[in-house]
Amino acid sequence: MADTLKQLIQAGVIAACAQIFVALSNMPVAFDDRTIVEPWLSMGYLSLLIVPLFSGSLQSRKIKLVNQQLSSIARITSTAPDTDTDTKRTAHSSPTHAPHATTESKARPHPVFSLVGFPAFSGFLAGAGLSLLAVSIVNFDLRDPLLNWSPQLLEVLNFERSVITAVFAWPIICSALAAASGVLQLVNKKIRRMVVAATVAVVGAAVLESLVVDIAQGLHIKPLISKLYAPRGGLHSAGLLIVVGATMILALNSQFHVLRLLRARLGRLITTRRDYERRSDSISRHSSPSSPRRGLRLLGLVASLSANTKRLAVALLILLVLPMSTGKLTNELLANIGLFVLLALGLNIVVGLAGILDLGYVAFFAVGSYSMAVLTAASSPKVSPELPWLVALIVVVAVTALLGLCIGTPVIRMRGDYLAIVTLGFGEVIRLLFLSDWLSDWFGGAQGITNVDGVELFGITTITGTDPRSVFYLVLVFCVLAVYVSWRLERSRVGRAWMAVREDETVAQIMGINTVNVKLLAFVVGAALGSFSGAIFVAKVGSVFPSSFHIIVSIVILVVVIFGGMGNIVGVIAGTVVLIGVLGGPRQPGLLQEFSEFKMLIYGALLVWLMIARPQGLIPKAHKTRRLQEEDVEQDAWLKASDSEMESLSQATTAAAPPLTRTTPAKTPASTELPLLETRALNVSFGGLRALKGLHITVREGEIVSVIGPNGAGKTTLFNAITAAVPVSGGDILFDGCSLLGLDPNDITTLGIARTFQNVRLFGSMTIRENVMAAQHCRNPQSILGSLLCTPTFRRQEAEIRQRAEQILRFFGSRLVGFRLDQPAESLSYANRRRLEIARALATQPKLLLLDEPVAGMNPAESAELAALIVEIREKWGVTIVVVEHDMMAVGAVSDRVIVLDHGGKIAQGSYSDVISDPHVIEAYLGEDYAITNS
Amino acid sequence: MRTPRTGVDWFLTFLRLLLLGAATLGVLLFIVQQVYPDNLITRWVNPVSANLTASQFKGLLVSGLTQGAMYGLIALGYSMVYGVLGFINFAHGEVFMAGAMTGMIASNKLDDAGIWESNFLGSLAFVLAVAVATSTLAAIAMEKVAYRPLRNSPRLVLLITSVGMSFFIQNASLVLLGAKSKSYPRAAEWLNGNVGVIDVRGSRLLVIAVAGLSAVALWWLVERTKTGMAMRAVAEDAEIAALMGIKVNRTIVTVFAVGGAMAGVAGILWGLMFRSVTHSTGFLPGIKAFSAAVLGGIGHLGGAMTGGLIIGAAESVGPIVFFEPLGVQGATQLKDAVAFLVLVGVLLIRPSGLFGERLPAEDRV
Repeated sequence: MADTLKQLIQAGVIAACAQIFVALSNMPVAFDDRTIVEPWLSMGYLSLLIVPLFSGSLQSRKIKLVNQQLSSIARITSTAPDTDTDTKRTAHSSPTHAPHATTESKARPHPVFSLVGFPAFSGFLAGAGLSLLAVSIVNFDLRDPLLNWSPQLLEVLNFERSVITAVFAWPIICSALAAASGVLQLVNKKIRRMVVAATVAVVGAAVLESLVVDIAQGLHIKPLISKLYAPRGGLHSAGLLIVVGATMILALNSQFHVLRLLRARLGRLITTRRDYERRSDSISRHSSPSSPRRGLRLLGLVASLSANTKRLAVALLILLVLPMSTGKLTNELLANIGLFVLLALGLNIVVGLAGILDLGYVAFFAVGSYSMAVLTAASSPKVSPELPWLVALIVVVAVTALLGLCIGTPVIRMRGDYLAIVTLGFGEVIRLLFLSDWLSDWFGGAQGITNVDGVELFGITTITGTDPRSVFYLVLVFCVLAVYVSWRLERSRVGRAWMAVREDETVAQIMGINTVNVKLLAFVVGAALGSFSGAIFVAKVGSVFPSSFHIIVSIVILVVVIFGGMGNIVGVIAGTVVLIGVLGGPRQPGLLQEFSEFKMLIYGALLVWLMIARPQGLIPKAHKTRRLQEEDVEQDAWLKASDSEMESLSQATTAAAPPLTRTTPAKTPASTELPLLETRALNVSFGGLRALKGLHITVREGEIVSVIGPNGAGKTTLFNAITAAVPVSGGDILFDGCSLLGLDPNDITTLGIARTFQNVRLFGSMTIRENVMAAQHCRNPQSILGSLLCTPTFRRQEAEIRQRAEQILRFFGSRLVGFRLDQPAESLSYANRRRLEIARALATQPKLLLLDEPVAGMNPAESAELAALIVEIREKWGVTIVVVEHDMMAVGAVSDRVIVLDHGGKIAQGSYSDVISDPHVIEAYLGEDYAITNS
Repeated sequence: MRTPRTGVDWFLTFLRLLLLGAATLGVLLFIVQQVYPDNLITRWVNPVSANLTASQFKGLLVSGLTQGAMYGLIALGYSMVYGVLGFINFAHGEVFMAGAMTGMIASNKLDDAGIWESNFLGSLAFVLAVAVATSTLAAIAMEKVAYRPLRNSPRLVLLITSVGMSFFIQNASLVLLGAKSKSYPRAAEWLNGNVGVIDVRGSRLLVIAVAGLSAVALWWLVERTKTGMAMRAVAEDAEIAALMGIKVNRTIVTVFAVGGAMAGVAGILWGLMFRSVTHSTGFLPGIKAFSAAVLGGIGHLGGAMTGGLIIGAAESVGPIVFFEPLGVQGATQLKDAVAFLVLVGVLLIRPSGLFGERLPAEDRV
């Protein structure tokens, strides 16, 4: 109980501090004029009241969780005595057996009391903080350091009455609100959702007032406005009822699940697209392109597209029509949002897809703006070619992409966090350069370049900042372009490579991806998209100043991208619309213009809160949100239902899929040619430790060789040396007759060596299919242009990759296919992860497969199965295999030959039976004494 | 550094050579310019260059070193947190700002009461204590609120969080105290005059002395006390340290506290040197201090201090020595760029820094 009290007081004090901070930050005074509900609630009070609400709901949720746990413990201990009288006695007589349940159940207050009363108590403390503040303002003068220690604040705190009101009212109000949020935890989940939705709707309706009014005026439905809003702003009491009522009806209509349904809808958007892809695949598989059924196929495509396309078309239509009916301010806002959507989509490629934290993204925006201004404006100080806009745009994109390359190259090999700071530095340096006297001949220094003309398109229209509607349409075009580019790239070879690099860079490289080039490409694509935004920004504002490109811009874009959900296009757009629309950009006002002072404060707090509480953002990638149990149930159902379907499907695809076998057929183990792999006097050392000492081994083509040895013998180091994961300090490694020294891991994979890892390292949040598809990177000639334009060649290649992936996965039985194909790899069981890792290695089409403890951690049945599979891999695909393994059953089952390492050197080799009776081997494993007595 | 094979490798080699070459050329030209002010190259590249006198140069160097001492103190915090938790605490610059800000408030209150002038050293000690306390508390609070819940997250997540924290603290100061730049009261007369024969302003000597003392105290704490041993153990391997009975959480809090205290000291020194402080005071010194920590070898305390001094000197002297001889006008405007260039240069040429040999565990494999 004392603990609970301490926690409550702690929560209360924290809430009080938060409220005092809010009060002293001037928010209540600044927002006082913004009414939410006409006579009795303004944004200013809301900013204060939101604290006890939030803290109360946090508290009550915590208490609820504890209560649930306690009651479940109590249930266990209370059911136990029925079966065992002994326990009953002990449980009652001595509390040591179940201290929690027995002591707490007596002391534990009624749930209503704990859920409502406890938060109310901490709410009371929070309110007391405000009372204290009001009294202090009356009695002391701290105006000197604290700017907002002002009579105005006192007025707000006093409710424009006397201090006594403040002293009594705040604790009561705050504890009532905290208690209310506790009550919400008591009631039915559906009702809770409804209340929350209604509250959000009321605040939203008030916040969106100017937008609603603007649209309504454009559509000539003024009566609506007067019904909803009071003349001086804010909702009427009647308007309040309308909004609440409408929300309730909506909520009832959608079976109480407004929010969840919305999320599910958005999730479905993504899955339906997957379905479409699958369907269009099957369509293209069944009909050859030149067949007379082409028209039919198109029709089929349209039919399968519809669900997705309809939504897209509706969204586009609204975006096209909406600005017609809205006023200048709204259009201005829309144009600003559009500019930030462009930036956010660009950064999303860099941060969300490729996982490169670029904190200097504003550099590309700045360079885009400045180069556009120099190229098109007559007022440009040094050179003014006054190129037509579209021509200039090409130059601008080229310049920015080049800059992306130049900034990217030095930083791309750095570790993620260093890269972040260095890019931040570059962003700042570029602003300083534009600002400097040194380059002021070119860029005008602090004065910047002014009087930049608008965009003249084909002599038909001119787009300037004075007509925000035209700017919006221009931005829209580029946004659609950016969405298209991101969408296409994400589902192509390079997109998968980006995601693989994001998940695990080392492994991505060992899977044959040239990580440096791939990351540079992300940088360049991001830069190009950022430059679009910059180019339009100039036309909109009509001038460029260095101060528009402060580092804050980068951070705001980052917040927006994280808020929406990194890596998810829909999420990023939604996040940008919400945040930039409501709060505004660094220098652009949002709907809440009073917020300009507090914008960055809110962005900062939001970023911290997001990282702690919701790092995946508002709308995370769809497949991650599904619950694992649901998946298992569905997988089981699928397995039962579709055995027969599987059969037919596998027959169909084996007929259609390209042959996976490499040209070399499986050979008999004892071929006498040049060895496939040979190490010559291989040395690897870490500091003083020599992990491999002059190791000579050979592996002939078609063999399965096991490498065994005690821990620390250098087995994994051997693999690491072969795949260039550790530097070789002496000797040579020959593969197919050529040396591997000095090559990058991805080159080695391209030559035909693939490996798995001792501690399974999959691309966790990518799906199983994507894992295997990404590994085909080095065998896949897909071009970026092809994937952008979606050419037939691209589609064919993509289908091939996909089929090959499924074919490989099917090799492992039903475990990795079917429903599982689109599940994230991290949802798999341990044994299945090991299998998937082998599948991923096979997908690189190796000549030599290095398996690092493939059966570790599996049960005997699974081990035996996998051992059989390893042999089958050689039979089916003619792959030479080297296995590092401790499980001697598996070693005996698979190996043609066994090599034994100890202390970095080879101590024995030969057949399994020879090796296990070799005295040196026994000595290495069991110690000298045993070896001597045995021999 | 690997032998260049790909285009990227060649470009990097080119960049390294370019950086070294430009620096060398700049210094050479500077020397030539000093010896023969009227040579051809100088007249062609940089016709308006004013020649530096020796005392001007010394003045620049000393002021640079003074500033560098502060960077060094801030860098200690970056370096310690990086050593123990492995992430860049981007908000550390704001901790420094918080110290400078409270120091400003306290010293102005004392000035209003007339104590500042009558008992300068006493009130300075008081102000220092207030600032150190604030910075320490800020650092601890930051750890508790933002970093502890994310203890085992990837370091990029922590870095992003600290960026958010940095903006939050900066803007919290903005909304609470206003955007106007605020100034410290004038320091005692003897600090503004030159000290004895060495012809260096007293305040600068004071700054360097206090910074040196703090650094020595920190060194003693880390190398000679039980707490320090716990810190080093946690830095080496937190999990093993916990198994050996070290209270990891408390040690981490201590690390933040000590780093914060150093930043607080730096804040007061900043106030004495420049006398003015705003909400954004912490941002650039923070990044420069981070560069200093990297330059010295992150995780290495002596390195952080040395790195700070080098960065301070480089950005004070650098524009005149490197940029101006190469024909950059208004080179001192690019002062802030120097630290970034140093950072990029270090990471390109010697990523482990001057004294760093050990890289964090995951980079060793």
